[in-house]
Amino acid sequence: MKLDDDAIERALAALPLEEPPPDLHASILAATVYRPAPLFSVAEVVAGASVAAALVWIAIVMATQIAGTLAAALSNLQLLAWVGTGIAIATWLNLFTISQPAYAVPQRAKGRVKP
Amino acid sequence: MAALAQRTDAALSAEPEDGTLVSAALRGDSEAFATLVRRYERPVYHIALRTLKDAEEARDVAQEAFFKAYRSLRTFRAGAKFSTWIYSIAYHACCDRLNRRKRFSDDALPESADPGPGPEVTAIALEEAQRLRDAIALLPEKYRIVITLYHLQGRQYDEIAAVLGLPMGTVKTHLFRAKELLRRLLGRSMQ
Repeated sequence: MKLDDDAIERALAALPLEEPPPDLHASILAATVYRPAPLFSVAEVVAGASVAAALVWIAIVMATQIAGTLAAALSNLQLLAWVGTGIAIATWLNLFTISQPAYAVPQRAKGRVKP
Repeated sequence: MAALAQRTDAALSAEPEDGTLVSAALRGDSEAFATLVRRYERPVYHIALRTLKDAEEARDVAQEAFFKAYRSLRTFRAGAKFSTWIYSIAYHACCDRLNRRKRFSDDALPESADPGPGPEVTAIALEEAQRLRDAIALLPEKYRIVITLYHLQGRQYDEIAAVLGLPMGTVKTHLFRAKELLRRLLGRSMQ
């Protein structure tokens, strides 16, 4: 190889291009023209994401408010005392009503008719 | 170099021009874009391979370049050269990869020709083409891409300048220095 300017240019011109991988053409086409269309358009994705974000925001706001109300209620001793009293009375009354067997009344009535 | 350009022109004369194919592709003709891919996949891969020196990455860049071109086909200016456009996209994709490599790797990119043995020494036993390829691979990136485009495009400095986004004077300087370096590298490999 004679190393003058022309020789280098001739060598460059004669230099064959490297062969690309055999499946390059197919992979380019698969990524471009034969690429399957997306299920949703960009506008649809944006709209869906906005609705989802709004729903999440509403859920968070509601959960925060409910948690706040509960926390306020539980920190009020007078309210807790009343609630405790109510539960105790309800339990006490239940001992007299629920503990009676359901079939007791008909049995007693039956007994009175036929002594 | 001119012969290469003539060969390319002759091969393309039978087929429709790039602009026509772009218009057809924009109308949804997938075969038109496939023709463009067939026409330019090899030089695009060649640019990527020379710039990145990695066959796997070159393949990815070639695919990425055509994907970007396909997506932004509407922005292609009528009257512009498709080859310049696609080479430019490929070159910038290569630059992105090189920058990422610089960021994530401690291995410095070769900014000057490697004076030691290595690829040069092994190239002595190879054919001239292989020796030339090895010498090109040893060039700094900015010279390597100019030589690669010169090889692809012939003497069209303006196109090389458009692809690289450099003034034409800089392209000529880079080309001159690239040839100087090539001459030195090839001379050394022949000794």
